[in-house]
Amino acid sequence: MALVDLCYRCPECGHDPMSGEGDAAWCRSCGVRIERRRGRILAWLPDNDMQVDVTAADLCGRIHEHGGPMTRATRADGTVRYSARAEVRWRVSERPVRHRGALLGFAESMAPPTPARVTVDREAVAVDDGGTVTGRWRLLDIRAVQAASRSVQLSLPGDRLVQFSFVSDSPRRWEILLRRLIADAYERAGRGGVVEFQPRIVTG
Amino acid sequence: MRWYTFFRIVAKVVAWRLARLEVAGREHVPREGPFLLVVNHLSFVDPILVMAACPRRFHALAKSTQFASSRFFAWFLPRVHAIPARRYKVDPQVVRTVLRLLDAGEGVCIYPEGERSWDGTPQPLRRGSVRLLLKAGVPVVPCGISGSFEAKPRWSAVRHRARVTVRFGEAMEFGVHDTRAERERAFDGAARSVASRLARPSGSPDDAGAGGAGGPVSGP
Repeated sequence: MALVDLCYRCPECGHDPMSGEGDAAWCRSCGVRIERRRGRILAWLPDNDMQVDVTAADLCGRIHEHGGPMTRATRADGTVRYSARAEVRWRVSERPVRHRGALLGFAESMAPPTPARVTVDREAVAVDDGGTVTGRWRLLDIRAVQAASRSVQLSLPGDRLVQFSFVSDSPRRWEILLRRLIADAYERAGRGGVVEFQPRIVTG
Repeated sequence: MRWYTFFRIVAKVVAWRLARLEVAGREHVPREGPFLLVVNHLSFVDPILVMAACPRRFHALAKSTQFASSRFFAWFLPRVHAIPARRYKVDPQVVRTVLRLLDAGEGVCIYPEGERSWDGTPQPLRRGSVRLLLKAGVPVVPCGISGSFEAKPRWSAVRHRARVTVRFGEAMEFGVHDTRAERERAFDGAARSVASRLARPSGSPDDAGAGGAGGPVSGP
């Protein structure tokens, strides 16, 4: 994980994507540089040569004001389509977890990762590796969305679970984008507003 | 020596290395009998800090993915009394396990926000967490952590030593709500109480407290 996972677009000018490595992120458009140092987050604003303390919440707020992930995903004709390369893993089984003879619960076992391209639009999420894991699922059929460390997981019909670990894109971006598009799809379909995305999508 | 005792000593050493740890309100953790510890979640170091700070042994919910992440975690997590919770679907087994442990007089720790905060701000509470504490009907001890986000936020691989406060608040009692209808009636009030006490565990307006939870329940 890296600061650029949080700060996937420039909080100053809105340029998307930000560049970065580790605890530093910078904008190739306006030149702003953001860095985490000793528990503080500092931003250098090139226009007035200032260094200011910022919070992660400030950065997220500014990114949200710029439109979050939707701007880059929205094309000139108004359609939404966004894709990125990811390692895709499917849950193959659930194994019981026991301790001292007592059943504590279950943990999922995931298949080895397969490189693929994940695409989302206003109707569906699609995975294409040109072979084994190719699939397309309507947003209205997705049962839950959750971020898990560096990945985003989707619960699908038939008690299936798929996990996307993005190779060079922010899981935060994808979490927000998927939730936003699913919420929009639910509203368009007259199913009401989504109030919770995990452990299952709930409308209120 | 039990593994839990051993790893609690390790947790204290690690917590000291990770942070300048301050603990307040230990006296609010019941000395005996069941209790639910509800904790805000800012960083992956939170479970270590709470284990080091809490005067009583407890079990804790952890994401099931973690149990499958490596052979070490599959061995280690049950020995520190972690309970796997599947977050990608409703998990009745986790409720059964928690209620069984509470019936046996044990303490259980849950993170009602469900996941670590991306930006250090409070997150909405998961509806299932609130329903669980209404069904359990045991004392609910709020525990607010502040400073762990500065020590190691979710999106960083680098730890910085920071001042971290773990503050236990006075236990809340919601009573037993056996039926779904009873739980739904009590839901909003309980969610508001937990969210506000996570923000200010001691209940005092002077409490610098933790980030706490932002809202009663999740939203889009």
